[in-house]
Amino acid sequence: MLKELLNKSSMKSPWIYHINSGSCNGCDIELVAVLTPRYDAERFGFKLTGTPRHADIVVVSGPITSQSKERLVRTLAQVPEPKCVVSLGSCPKSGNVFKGSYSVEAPLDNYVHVDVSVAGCTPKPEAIMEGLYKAAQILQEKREAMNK
Amino acid sequence: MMLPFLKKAVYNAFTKPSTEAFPCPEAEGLGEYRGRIAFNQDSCVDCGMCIKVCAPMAITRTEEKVEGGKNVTRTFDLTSCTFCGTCADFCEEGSIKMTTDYHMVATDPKDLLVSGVTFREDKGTLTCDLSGCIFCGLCMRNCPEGALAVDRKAKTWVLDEAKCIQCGKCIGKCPKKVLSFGPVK
Repeated sequence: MLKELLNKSSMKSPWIYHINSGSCNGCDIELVAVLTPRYDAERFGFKLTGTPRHADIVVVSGPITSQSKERLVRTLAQVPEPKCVVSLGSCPKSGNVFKGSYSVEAPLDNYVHVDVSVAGCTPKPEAIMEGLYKAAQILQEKREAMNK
Repeated sequence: MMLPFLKKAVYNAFTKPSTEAFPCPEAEGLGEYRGRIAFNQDSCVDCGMCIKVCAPMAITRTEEKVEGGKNVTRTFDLTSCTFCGTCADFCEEGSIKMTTDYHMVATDPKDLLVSGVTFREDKGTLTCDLSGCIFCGLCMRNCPEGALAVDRKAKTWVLDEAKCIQCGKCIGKCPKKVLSFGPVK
């Protein structure tokens, strides 16, 4: 009974944790724009948390610099299951224009399974909304599979 | 005192919310927005200019030998693209277009690849009728691969066969129409 209630409530509040692994800040400000009243992702229960331990969805931006790689892996390990990883923009998936640099360790797929990738440089807030919505659905599927 | 707020409250009660609806209606006024790449494989001459100018190396080209030529596949990786539009600017044939489609969300990375296959016929070696050639060098300047060396003073016209991709751009640019593809070996 309580478990059911918990499930239902967590379905309606997928919390986001945002990791910037050396991003140029373009994707980051667009993600913030998604949370503002104009696009208002919070009406679906998305909320930006300050700690990975409270997060359901992890949004990663940036080409994963060597300095941030270890911190990224450590932070991702702290996110409780079920979790959903969203890559924001071109950088985490491929390294974008920084590809081949001595200090860039993209792609993100080497460290964690990426559930949803939002392409664009930077993606439009509308696209990020779609990505987050998809991520929430995947999260729900994962949660149902876990509870079985 | 309360009146200004009351006025606003009543006004807002009868207006549409300023929040964008979800799923978002198609954004308007995108103008020159550069989104998903559209590639027309039929008009592509396989000059390779897009690959050369692409800063994040998002374009790959693979070829497969078939009878009478080869199949060339060009793939644009949208998860690697910066959407700078340089490939579209440099494409002389206009085969690459930046569309305003910004819905680029995928769970499968394959959905974010744009590719096209072109059949390239083996046309034979490029030959120049030296009796009509004026050694202007237009062919050399328009060769995307740098396969031609024309010396105006020495009156020489040399083709590097290994570099020639048989795009036929030089034939179109030649003012004297002395260039042609020779017999297929």
